Amino acid sequence: MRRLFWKFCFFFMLAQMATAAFAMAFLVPHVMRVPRPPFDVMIGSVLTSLAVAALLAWYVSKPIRSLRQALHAAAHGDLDARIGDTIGRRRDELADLGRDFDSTAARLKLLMDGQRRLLHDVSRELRSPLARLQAAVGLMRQHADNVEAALARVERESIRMDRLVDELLTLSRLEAGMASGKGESVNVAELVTEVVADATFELNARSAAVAFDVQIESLQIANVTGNAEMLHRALDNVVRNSVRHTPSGGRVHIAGEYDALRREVRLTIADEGPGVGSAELASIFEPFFRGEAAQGTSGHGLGLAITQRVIESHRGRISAANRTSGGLAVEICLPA
Amino acid sequence: MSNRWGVGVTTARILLIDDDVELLDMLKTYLEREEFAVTTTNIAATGVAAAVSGDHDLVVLDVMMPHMSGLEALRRTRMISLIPVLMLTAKGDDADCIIGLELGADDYVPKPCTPRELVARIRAILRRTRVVEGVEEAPAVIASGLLNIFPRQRRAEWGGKPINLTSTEFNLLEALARQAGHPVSKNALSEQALGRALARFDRSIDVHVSSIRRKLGTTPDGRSWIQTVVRHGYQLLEK
Repeated sequence: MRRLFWKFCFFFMLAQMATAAFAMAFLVPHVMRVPRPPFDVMIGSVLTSLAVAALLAWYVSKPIRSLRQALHAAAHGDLDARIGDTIGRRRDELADLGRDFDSTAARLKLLMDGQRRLLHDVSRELRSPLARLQAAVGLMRQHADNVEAALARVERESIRMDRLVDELLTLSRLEAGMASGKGESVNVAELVTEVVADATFELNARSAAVAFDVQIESLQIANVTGNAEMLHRALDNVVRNSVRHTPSGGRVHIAGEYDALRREVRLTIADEGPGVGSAELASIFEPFFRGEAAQGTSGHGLGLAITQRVIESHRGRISAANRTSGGLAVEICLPA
Repeated sequence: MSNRWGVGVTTARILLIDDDVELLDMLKTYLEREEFAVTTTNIAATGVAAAVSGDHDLVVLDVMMPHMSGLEALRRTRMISLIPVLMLTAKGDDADCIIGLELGADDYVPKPCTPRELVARIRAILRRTRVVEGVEEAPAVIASGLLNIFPRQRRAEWGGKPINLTSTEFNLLEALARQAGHPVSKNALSEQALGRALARFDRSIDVHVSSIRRKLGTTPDGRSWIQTVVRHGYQLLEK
């Protein structure tokens, strides 16, 4: 059972015996009158060395045993097992190994919890359009009058589900670090102009009264290296989010500047919506997060999560804050 | 309460609480064609206020709502009102389901469900909560030990004091009292109390029975008034 213990015990005993034997062999020819040690002293010394050997073996094998138990538990899915307590204040390679195990297990647990939560959210998000589809089919069956509207609904829901799946795949590619790839030179001013043009086009089609206030003159000279498509998508998500939360007649403010000293582009997208509760600010970049004020609005809560991962894969930073005049401001910094 | 289902009143008033506005609209259309009067809200707090107002006959509540959760809404509703509540739960999420039943929901439907299923469940609950008037077979009182049940008024007394029961709990207790002293199978209880056959691994009856047990207390020698009959069902003790 405790093989390491017995091995250590055995070899340490052997080493002590050998040392004693060598000492005797050396002493006897030189000093002729070495008295033969009495029997009980011999027994005593053997017992002492046995005890020391056992102690040493125990000292080495104990942390390995608890590490093994913890690994065993982890292999069976229990990532809560920690060995920090059994290590105590010990400081050597074995203790370090134990602490490394603890931090690994904690990190794994965090990741697994995240995945589990994501899976839960995904199933929930897929169920909402499914529930609407079932309701639409029910309406069609119920009465012929309902058919046209219900068919339009079925179409809309399938497009929604398609978009959800697409966004999920994008997110998972980004998290796996697969989408950062291409190193194109992207002009941020052009990017912003494109995104705003798209958004304006859609707003006109819906005849929604949200205007843009864009100030990005100083960005004409700034280029960012990265994946143009992903950066476009990242920006598009933030702008759409702002548009969605701006009441009719409001404006979305986009301001950009190039910081020559730190060699970075700073972009602020601000809306005139209700803002986000200060407790929720940190969570808005999490997948499937929807703010208190966002109830009932469309979207899956994946847009900003995708944006954050795109920006981070370009070694940039993204943060959000409430404006003093009301509304949410998202700031993006990208190394130029 | 007793006149709510009086002669002439045929339209049951349903309150739908769900965060999905579009789904609400569709369900409202569907239910209105089935001749229900429907009120909808996508805000839990508003829903609670409406549920306890006494203007509705049944609440359909999505327990998976974000923010003030559906379960919290259910808890707050139950603190004030015994209005029948049908929960919409996530398929496969048994925890939510059991907690909801413990909080006093009458039954649940896993979401997504077809509107036809939903209507069938709504009808099942309403049929059971309907005060039986002029029906010969309903006796004025069912007495068993300390328990007196008045099926026509849908009220129950324990040792002379009224007990607050949700409509499902009332039906269960009535079914048990009708055969007091004899075991009643879970399947029969489900048919009589929930109006549907018991699904496999369905723990609804157990959860409802345990909340009735809490309301009845124990016999002088410390036993529960409702005894479990292993692998069969439950039995109400006569004394």
